[in-house]
Amino acid sequence: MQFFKTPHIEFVGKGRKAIMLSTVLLLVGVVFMFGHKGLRMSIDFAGGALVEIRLDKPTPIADVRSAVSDAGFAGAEITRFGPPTEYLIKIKAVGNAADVAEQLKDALSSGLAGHEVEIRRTESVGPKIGAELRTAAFWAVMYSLLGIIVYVSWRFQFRMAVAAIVALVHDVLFTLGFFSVTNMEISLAVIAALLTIVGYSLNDTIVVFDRIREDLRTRRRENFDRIVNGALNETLSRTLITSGTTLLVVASLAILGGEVIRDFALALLVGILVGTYSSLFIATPVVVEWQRRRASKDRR
Amino acid sequence: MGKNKWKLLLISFVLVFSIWSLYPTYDFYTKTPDERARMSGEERGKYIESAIKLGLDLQGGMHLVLEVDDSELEESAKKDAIDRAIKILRNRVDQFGVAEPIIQQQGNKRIIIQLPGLQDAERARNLIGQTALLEFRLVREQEDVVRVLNALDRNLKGVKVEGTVVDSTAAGEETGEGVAAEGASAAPDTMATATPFDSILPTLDAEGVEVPLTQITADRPFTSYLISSFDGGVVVDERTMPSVNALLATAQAQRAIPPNSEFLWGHEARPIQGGGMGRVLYLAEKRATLDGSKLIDATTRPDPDDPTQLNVGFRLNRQGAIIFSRFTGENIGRRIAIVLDRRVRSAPVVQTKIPGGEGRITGLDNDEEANDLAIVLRAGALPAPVNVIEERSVGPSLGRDSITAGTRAAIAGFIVVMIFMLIYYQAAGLLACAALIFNLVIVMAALAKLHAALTLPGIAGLILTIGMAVDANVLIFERIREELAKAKTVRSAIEAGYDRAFNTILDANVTTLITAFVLWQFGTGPIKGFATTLSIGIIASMFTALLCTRVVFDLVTANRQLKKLNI
Repeated sequence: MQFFKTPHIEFVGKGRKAIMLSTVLLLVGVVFMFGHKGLRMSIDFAGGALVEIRLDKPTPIADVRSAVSDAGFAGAEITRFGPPTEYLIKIKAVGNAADVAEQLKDALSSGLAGHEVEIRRTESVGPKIGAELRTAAFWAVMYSLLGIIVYVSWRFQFRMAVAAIVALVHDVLFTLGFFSVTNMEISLAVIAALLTIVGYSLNDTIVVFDRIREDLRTRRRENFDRIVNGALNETLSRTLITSGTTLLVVASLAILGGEVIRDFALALLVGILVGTYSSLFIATPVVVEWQRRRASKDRR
Repeated sequence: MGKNKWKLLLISFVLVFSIWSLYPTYDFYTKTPDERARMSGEERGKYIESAIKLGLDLQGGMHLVLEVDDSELEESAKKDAIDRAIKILRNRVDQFGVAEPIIQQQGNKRIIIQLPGLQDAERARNLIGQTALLEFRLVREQEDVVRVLNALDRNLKGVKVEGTVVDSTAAGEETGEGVAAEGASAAPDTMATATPFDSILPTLDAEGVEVPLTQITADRPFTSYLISSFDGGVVVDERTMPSVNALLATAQAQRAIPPNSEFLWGHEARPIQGGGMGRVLYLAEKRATLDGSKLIDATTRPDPDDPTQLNVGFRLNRQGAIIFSRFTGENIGRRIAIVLDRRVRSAPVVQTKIPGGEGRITGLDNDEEANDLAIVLRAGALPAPVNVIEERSVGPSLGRDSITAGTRAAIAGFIVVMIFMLIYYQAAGLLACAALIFNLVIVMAALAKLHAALTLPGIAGLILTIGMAVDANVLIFERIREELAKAKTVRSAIEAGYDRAFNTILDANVTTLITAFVLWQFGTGPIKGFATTLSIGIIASMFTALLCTRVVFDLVTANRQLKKLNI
């Protein structure tokens, strides 16, 4: 079985349009990220306390809310976590998070009279740790990008490394933008997903670059644009299949993996989709553009 | 064919080794909880050594990050403090009875503690978080107390601190007209616990009537807060504690308190007249005559006056006993405060010289508190207070649910990918599926051998590995198809396919490994688990895709001239 014989799609010609489209989308994301709401940070980064509870019978969220606010936690954020018996209560940016988690637990046990309250999970992160984790997360993303730029320049060419990084930054920004627009929280798990995307979305790009590297050796006479476009088309089916199989497993993780891991799975899902797009329409066009500029400079 | 023989040998070795490594895991997790509970410590230890460990997020447990507050220590003591703190905490945790606790230093001020399978997070936090500094201090005599209180009133005139003003209506209701009625209706033993105000402090209130909270009079800015006397101290309404603390912290108040004395709060809240709870404030010597470092043992024992209550009895070493004996002998008739973490547990009157170096701590809330106090006293005091700056605890039910959901997602993802590979690549797809299963076996075996914990993100890493491991096969198979399309023979197409795909697979996987390494450096606990499984999975996928499937292709095509490849 085969989905398609080697297609003839004009990727390189569409490169500029794709870059424009991406720029617009990324701008929307960035506006949201730095706009009035900003990126929503989870307690991992903002500091605060979180309590996940399970009640013995379905309970309206309003009851949970009043139990929490009666205890003096007006700023608490309460969300249903899966079935109507499970809730997540978060209080961000508090000084003594461990005490707050403890007080919340007591407030829920006494405030929801007639219910059996099971505490499934508590987390508390002090503000200092939160700030440190923010810095650490930022540097983790930076170091992984640096590692990749070094490796790709060594194995390929510097311009390919730059193009790959452009595509990766694109993927990371897009995923962050997605989280910002959908108002989802950035947690440690989401950062882990981002780093995974940085590593994985590069795979497709490398498959293409590898083919370009090979074709440059075997078809010296041909025009650079043609070689690149040819390489994209020749590798298209494997690009789609490899991303496709990974998307399948990530989707099953998002659907069946449970609430705790869902944000992580969603971030991966978005990142892998965008990563596939960017290796076809961003990374390679950047290389072509670079080549064109250099060629025109050489002629002058 | 010699090359393939070696490859086959290597593959068989890896397979056998992996299955052998996984056997304890299989054996352990297929046992019923009953059987596991019956296991002896030694037997359990053997499994812990060799079976895959579940992370805290899957088996439930507590992760704590503590920071040692060494701000009050001298420079020279700071370096030593964290090592001692770790030793003492390890002692406490061991006695608390948690299987496989992890206690390690992070940076130069922090301690990470992981307590797997722990149920009572609050109790654990109390046990770990308290400094457990036990001190014996002489309580100041009444004349001294009265003198200091009067000095406080003099010095604090006109001083305003936050929270001094109490809501007059609420306080009025409780302490005004209703006092008599409420007081009368209160349980008799409540009245007995709070000794009625006598004339010990005549300057305060000769009538023995408690001072309403609202009557903070200008000429008695401090003593207006005092309700009665008890146990050698003065009683303050719990609600006004912040104001009293604020007043005592002022420079004016500090000048009124002699430099060798300080005020300490009692540990226990006791009912006061007119409802509410009061706390005793003691004036004690600043210097401890004796501290917990001279203690050699602490055990729980029933209270002789009330056998339903547990006390903690302690024994001092020889040197401690000598000091204690001299101390009690010199102070018959006076009160000694037994102070734990700057809170007075009790302040009994010394009746006689106590020579044996034994004593007991009373007034504990429940048996658990008594047990834990005995543990912390035996383990010794922390050199400096510790603060919990991060805490994550997962209950066992969430852990179980996560295992179920994670396993379900893994199986579903696995099946979907296998079906796709079988349909799309047929016979070659079957080979890829076999490689995939082999891959998972290797990853699990590596987890068991490396003693790495399987976390929920770790399961996610495993799932992701399924998706990525087939990538290598896809790259090879697509390349072979391409070579076949160029009308090459089957054997040369396979050869070319593997050779040409090798670089691509290597480069693609190395970049993923780079980020997995960064992630491993950055993450803690669950996230590290993800980075670990992902890295092992990627390396294993190179082995299965490049080596194992290749051998099968070679063997199939070795002795026959295949015209067509089922790919």
